[in-house]
Parts: sequence; structure tokens; C-alpha cells
Amino acid sequence: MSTIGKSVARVDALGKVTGESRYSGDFDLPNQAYMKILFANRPHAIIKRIFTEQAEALPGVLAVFTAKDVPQNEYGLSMPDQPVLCGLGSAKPFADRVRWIGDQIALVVAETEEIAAKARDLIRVDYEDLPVLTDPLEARDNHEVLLHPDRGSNIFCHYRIRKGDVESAFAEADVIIEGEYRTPVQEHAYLQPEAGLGYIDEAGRVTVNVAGQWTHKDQEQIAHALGLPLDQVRVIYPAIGGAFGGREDMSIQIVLALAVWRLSQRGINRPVKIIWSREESILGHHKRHPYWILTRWGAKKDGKLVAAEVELVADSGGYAYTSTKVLGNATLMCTGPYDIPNVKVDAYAVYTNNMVTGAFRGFGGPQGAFAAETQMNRLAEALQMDPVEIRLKNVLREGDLLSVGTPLPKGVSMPEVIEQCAVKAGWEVLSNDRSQARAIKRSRKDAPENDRGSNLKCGMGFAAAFKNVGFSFGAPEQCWATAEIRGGAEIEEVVISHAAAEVGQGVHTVIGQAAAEAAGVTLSRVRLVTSDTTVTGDSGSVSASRMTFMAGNAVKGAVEAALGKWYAEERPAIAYYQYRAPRTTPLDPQTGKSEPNFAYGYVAEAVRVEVDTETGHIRLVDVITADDVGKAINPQQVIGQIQGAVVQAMGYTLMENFIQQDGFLQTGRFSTYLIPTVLDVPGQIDPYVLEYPDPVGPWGARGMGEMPFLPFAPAVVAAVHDATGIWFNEFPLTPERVLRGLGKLS
Amino acid sequence: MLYRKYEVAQTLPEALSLLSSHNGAVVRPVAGGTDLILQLHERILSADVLVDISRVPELRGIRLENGQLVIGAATTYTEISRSDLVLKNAFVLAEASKKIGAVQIQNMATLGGNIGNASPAADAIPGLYALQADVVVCGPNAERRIPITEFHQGYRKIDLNPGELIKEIRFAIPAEGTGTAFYKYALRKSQAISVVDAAVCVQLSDGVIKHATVALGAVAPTIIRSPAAESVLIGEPPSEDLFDRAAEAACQDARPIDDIRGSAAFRKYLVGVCTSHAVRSACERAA
Repeated sequence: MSTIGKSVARVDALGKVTGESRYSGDFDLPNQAYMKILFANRPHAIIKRIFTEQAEALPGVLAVFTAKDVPQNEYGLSMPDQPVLCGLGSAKPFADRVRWIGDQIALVVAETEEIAAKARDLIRVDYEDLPVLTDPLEARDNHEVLLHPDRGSNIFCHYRIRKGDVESAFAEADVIIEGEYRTPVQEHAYLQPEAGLGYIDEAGRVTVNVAGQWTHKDQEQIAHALGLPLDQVRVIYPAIGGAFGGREDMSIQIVLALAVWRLSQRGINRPVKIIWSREESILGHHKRHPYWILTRWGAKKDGKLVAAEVELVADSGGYAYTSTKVLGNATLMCTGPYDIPNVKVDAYAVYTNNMVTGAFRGFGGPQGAFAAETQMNRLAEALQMDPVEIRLKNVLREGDLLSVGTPLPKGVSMPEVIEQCAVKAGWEVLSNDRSQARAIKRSRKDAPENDRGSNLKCGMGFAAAFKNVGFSFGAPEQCWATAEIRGGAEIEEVVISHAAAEVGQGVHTVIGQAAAEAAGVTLSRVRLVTSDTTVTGDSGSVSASRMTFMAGNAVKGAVEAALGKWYAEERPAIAYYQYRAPRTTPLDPQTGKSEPNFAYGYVAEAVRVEVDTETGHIRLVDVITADDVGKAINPQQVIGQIQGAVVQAMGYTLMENFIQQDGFLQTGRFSTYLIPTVLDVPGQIDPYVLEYPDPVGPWGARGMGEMPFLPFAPAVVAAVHDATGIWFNEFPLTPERVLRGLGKLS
Repeated sequence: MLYRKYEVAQTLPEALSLLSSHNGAVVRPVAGGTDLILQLHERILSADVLVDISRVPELRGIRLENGQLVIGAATTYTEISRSDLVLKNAFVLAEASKKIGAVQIQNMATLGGNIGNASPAADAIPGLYALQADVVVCGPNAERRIPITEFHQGYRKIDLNPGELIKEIRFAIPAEGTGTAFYKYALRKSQAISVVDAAVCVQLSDGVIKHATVALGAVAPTIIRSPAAESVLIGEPPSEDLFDRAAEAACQDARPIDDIRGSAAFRKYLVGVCTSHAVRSACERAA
């Protein structure tokens, strides 16, 4: 009877396989018009004038909108620092500036897409170019060139952690490892480029049918920019073709709503459709932050860590997006899941004229983990210790204090996850003392024998990580769901209304399973009403690996409350329920002291590589990934997420080479920005799903969509070191970078 | 619109007449369209009229004619890679055809299109250089036969007059004892443009290389031959040391540039990798 823990078929499988599912670009309405956006295509300049007359005069053009048409010309998830449209005539200070090539200048609405594009090209903009800042370290220290002059600095976020006394601790350390690391930009490359249909609905609401990650936040940002009450704006998500964090911020949402609304004010009541090309998508939405990380770690001879000092700078591009939150994660995770008595961290998010950056699977975790885990692997090498042994010696256990001075929430499984991953990968347990760090060594039979004469060198690497589940550092964390139980003597139908965005991760199926389980009915009796701000409550975003955890608890709570009414003979029995997660607190500005998160997932990975020292190509032979998911509500979906995360992390680590020059994009299409194809994926991915229940997760579940991504890059870098003897402190490990590292290129 | 009019030619005379019958309009032939349509989209090229030549029988198919292999310009890579005549006589072209784009592109793209597009990173052309092929072009009044090395005059520059079409490729069947090979270096296993590639033909006689051609892709404004590598090879028995020396010689002939796929230094190094692999495979196949 129970559906929890069963790999039931996805509720959206049939529609997606047959093509019946409709994505935002698939919707059409009679008499619709089409929109095109004029992008800045220059990295830093002041707009002196915009000439729209020629465009407006083109037959078939309905309207051209610019900054003067935006009532509140600002938006932004962590701070409203971005104009909706850059240009003249709005009240927003310095909205006449463009700060990256993807800034939006004007909207053209026309009878056809072709006319709209032609009219867009007829718009002339006079610019006065400004100096272009592309080096985040220079941006941090340069106070001459300011991207946002009203802010007085290019640094818009600085976190500090001060725990213990690092200087004294370093003085007592037996070994100190210093590292300077750089992590790359990554494009989300979701299957579905941005697309939407905007219209005024039957109740007069400005409505957009789009792809996003948080209906209610989109609604709020649209309402703010248009100066409308919330209930005059409606956001609907149909099927969504991938997100990975790339749809958290606005792309077309506000401008589509703006165009529809302004047209209707001119008496033109017509739906407006927009579909971005792949090139527009790559230009128009944010990327994963590149980080520069300078760090030094000290340990005693026995491998016990005594101190870690880290300086991080995140290149946020022209606007903040979610950079402050991403930086918080990186600040916490840059010292790894380890008990370090003395920690000093300074983390900065800075504006530059590079591509804007924001949320992307892992959300600061992969960047922090790359530095932390590479430091651990290099410490192990310096101390001639096994990389698993040194981790088990330092791993955070229940009750140990994080760098921010508080313990992890109950349900810490990091030691078990590390050990089980290692055993799966061929390590041997040498001591069985469960109470203390267990001695564990790489088994000799597993150590690769590299033939001296061959170009092919094999190696294995190991890394571990922890990933928060849910919003962090004091951000309000809640999730609504409505349950309506229908029937007479018996339950005939359970209707769940919620706004969890189904971006392909399978959350609708999980919600269905949660509802069926809580109501004690089969999944076939559950019906979902989803992602429409007029009929569903605020579920929060599909981000931070949170939705199984949050919606699971909300749906469970709603069904249980409705069941109470059902037993009290209410027909239908309806309950509206808000799940509120345990409280977290922000970083103290001086010391970083905080309760950062209410739940975590724990992960460890071992990777076998084969490096071709002649061609520089790295082949992934085998990926062993151990993931504590608490409870796999739907094991097949969990494994799918693990495999997907590994492949995406593989692209990040080995292949995806995002190139910018002087603020311009060199890899703006899929023929120049290469992502893995099915032929490039690892020879074998061995997901090892562990289920140490989270005490507050629904049925013990933890979130897990991001965590397999985190330890992957450092594990590969360690494996490449094992194979070649070379440490790489920067990736992607493209063949050219590998050959250069091996000294093969002059 | 990418173009105003799309016309489908059924015969070669009809194709030639359609190509020259639109006064003042920009008329372009299209076969697979895998390069052309992208370039129209990106506005690198423009066109008023497209003339579809993919069904013209005179432009299609692979045949033997007086000791020569003839490949119609509108023959697809899938057809080339599956052709027994090619597999037997010009393996290098079959090998290259399977490395172009991915299956979907191989099903659409044509040899003539690759020659006309004249990219220095074209995967099929190094093999044609190594096979010392000729390009046959036809105009309304006459045919011309031009060595491929002369047909490609410079970066994306070809010897084709208005109204002319690339009709076919011809080359002499390699002599007994010849082995051919293509080696492509790219940053992904499929759907990737070559960073460097090499095509090689060697003829072995009594254990010694009697004849050798080495062609390199993506290291100069056009595909190039490497005379230095060829002269290293000729007269020598195949050996690992010889492959290394040929590779070194090829590096001297390459004139690569920096671009997003790699630096000049990286490409220079890869010329050696590609050359030694291709020469080794060609010698193995010749033996």
C-alpha cells in the first residue's frame, strides 16, 4: 500500500514521452503579438539617447517600450539593484547605465516575430563607453570605476568568520598547505530556452505563462516593477524544461508582463508571446559564479586540522542576483565538513562587467568544496596519509562545532557516508573501533599500476561534501499546501494544490506520493493542481534541494489536517497548511556566528580516471557516489538526480569552457560552449543511496538534488594528481590545460 | 525570412538554369544545408532564392570510371561512409565522414557542401588533399577540372564563378599497397569542430614508403599539405621513430592561430599528435 520508497512511474512521464505536455513556448492564443528584446551588447556604458522612431514607424509594429515605461524600474532577488530596462526617463538612479552585455534596453511588440526582430534592429542607441572592469580582484580594490556609483563600492557583500585564533594555531601546526584556486563560470544549458505567453486574464489580471522556479516570487517582482497590487498579477508555470537555478532570477517575466499591461492601457488587448533563441538564452540569463579562493590550512603530524584561513572573491557580474546567498554557502562550505578549531574567512561578492552570475546547482557549495577538498587531499599527500583516513580524523560528528560556532542539526551522517563510499571504492577497514576515527586504507590490489611506457595513466581521487537543504542564514523558510479530500463513505479523491515548480526533477511525483501516503490511498486517487498564483499558495522556490523536504512536510501536514476534518464528517474536507522549517540565523557581521541551516545532505565520491598524457584527454572510468538522502521517496528519481548531477559536474570539471574577453562573450552558442554528449559521460556511475533519516524531514527524507555535484571536481582533480603527479588548482581540465600542466606545450 | 523562394531542381541543366535565371537576386544552391542555413540565420550570408540540388541525379552517387573514383557533390557523408567503393579504395574519406558532426549531420551534409563552404577545419577536405583529388565544376557552357589544392584559394575562398556548381570529386584509385587514414582531434567525442586534424596516404613497396601525402586541417587559412613530413617519410621503412620525425616535420609546416578552441601552441603540438597517429594507421593499413 505504501508508496514511499517505491519507484512509481512519474506522474508527468506519459505527457513528456508522447509530447503532450505543454511548455511555456507551446501556448498560443488567438490574435497574439510577438515580442523581441534589444540587448545592450556592450559591457559598460552610459546611454545618452535611444532612437525608437524608425522602429515604431515600421508597418506591423504595435509598440516599443523603454525605461520610461517601467513604473518602478528595478528588481533583484537579494536587492533591487537592476533596472528592468536600462535607459532614460525612469526614477531609478543610474538606470541609464548598462553593466553587462545582456542588459535589456527596449521591447518591441509586433504582428510577427520577424517584424519585431527587424524593428529591434532599427533602434539606435547612443552610448558613452565607460572603463570595463573584468577582474574581480581589481573590482574589489578599485574605487575609481564603480558599477553602481550610488553604492560607493564594487563590494556589495562581505562575510567574516572569526573562530578561535588562527595565527597562534598556524604557529603550532606541523604542516601548512597554501592554495590559490579559481573555479569557472558555467552555463545552465537547460533544454528549454526562456519562453512565455502574456495576456490579461478573464479577471483583468496581468498574466504570464512562463518557466520559472518560484511562482510567487516572480509575481512579487512583476507587481513591484509594474506598481500593481499583488492580486493584479498572475503567474502560471506549465511544464518546464530544466532550471538548475538558472530560472531563479527574472529573464522575460517582468518585461512580458510590462508589454501586455502597457499595450492594454493603450487599448490594445492582445496576448504577447516571446521565445528566446538559444543564443538569447545564453546571453540573457545569469551563470554560475567564478570564484577566486586563496587559502591556507594547518594540521598536526597526526593529520588533525588546527586552522584554516580562507579569502574568497565571487565575480557577480553587473548585478547581485542571488550572489549574497551563494556567497553565504561558499563561506560556510569553503572549510569543508570538518571540525577545525580555528577558522578565519573573508568572503566578498563584487560587481564586474562580466556576465551576471547567480544560482546554479550547488549554489556556492561546489566552489567552496573545490578549495576545501583539494586542501584536504594535498594535506594528506604532505602528511603521507590516506585521503580517507585524514577525512575521518577530522570529519564533523554530531555535536561538533561548524566554523560558524554552532553544531550541525541532528542526524549527521558524514562519517558513515565517507566510510561507506571508500569501502565501495575499494578501501579496506583496518580497525573496527566504532567509537573513534576508524583506520581505513586504500587497498593495494586497487592501486592502479601505471605502465611507464604507456601514455595512459590511471588514478583515483576522493572527496566529500555537505549541502544545506532549504534556505539558509535566517531567510524565512516556509511552504504552503492545500489538501481537499473528496468522497462519501470512502475517500474518492485527494486534491493537492501547491506551487512547487516541476522543472524536470520529479517533484510533482514526490508530492503525489506524499499525499497518497498521508491519506492512505493509492497514487491514482491523488490529483494535483499546480503552480498558478491564483489557486495555489506560496511553496517557495525549487532551489536549495528543498522541495522534497518542504513540500513533503507541507503536503503531509495539509492531508493530516484535512483528514481530521474528514473524520469530523466534513465533505469535502479542506485544509490549508503552512510548513515552517526550524529557524536559522544570519551570520554575525563580526564573527560569522550563526545557525546557518536546519538540514543537510551528506555526500562522498571516489572517481577513477584515465589520463592520456599524449592528447590531454581525461576519461572517467568509474564514479562511485555515496549520497545520504535520508529516505529515497522515489529511488529511481533519486538515482536519476545523482546521475544527472554527476554528468553536469563532469561538464563543469572537464569540458565546459566559458570564455569572456573584455566583457564580451566568446562562447555564446552550443557550437562553441561544449557540454557533454551521451558519448562523453562516465563509463560507469555507481550511485550508492544511503538512508540515514533526517529527524525533521518528511519520512526522514533529506534534499539531494545538488549534493552529488559538490565533491566531483575536487575528486577528479585528486584522481588526475594520482595519475600524473600534477595538482591543478584551476579547471575545467580541458586537454589544453592538462597538456600545459604536464609541460607538453611550449 | 531566410530566403524568399525555394526551388527544387530535378536535373543538372535545370539546376544550372535556375541558378542563373534570377536577375539581380542572390541565388544559392543548397544540398544538406547544414552550413548554409546556419550562415543565413547568423546573417553571415544572405539569399533571395535557394535552389535545392540534393535530388539532382547527376550530382549524386559514387562510381568507378577509368580507374578513377567519382563522388557526386550532393552525396551525403552517410552514403560515403557506407560505400564499398570508398571503404575499399579511399578509406580515409569513410573515416572522416564518420567524424563529421554526428549522425544527423552525416545524413544531411554533402561532400560538395563541405568543399564549397571551404572551412579550414573541414573534416572531409584533408582526405581529398591527401588523395590528390580534383574538383569538377560545371557552368552553363562548360566543365572545368581543378586540383583541390588550387580550388581552395584562401580562407573560405574558392575558385567558383557565378552560375557554376560543384559537380563532383575525382581522384585516381590509389596504387596497390596504399593505406590511408584520418585522425581528428576535437574537444568532444562528437558534434565538435576539429581543433586539428590530419589525413595521410602512404604506399608501401618492399617494406619502404614509396609514396606519401600528408594533409593537415585547422592549422592554416586552408587545408594544407605538409611537404616536410612527406619528404621525411618517403624512402623509409615505417617505424615509431619515423612517425615521430614526420610529426615534427609536420609541425614546421603548420601555421596555426589562437582561437576559442585552442592556442597556436596547443595546435602546433596537436599537429604532431594527429600526424603520427594518422601516419601509423595508414602504414598499418598499407602493410
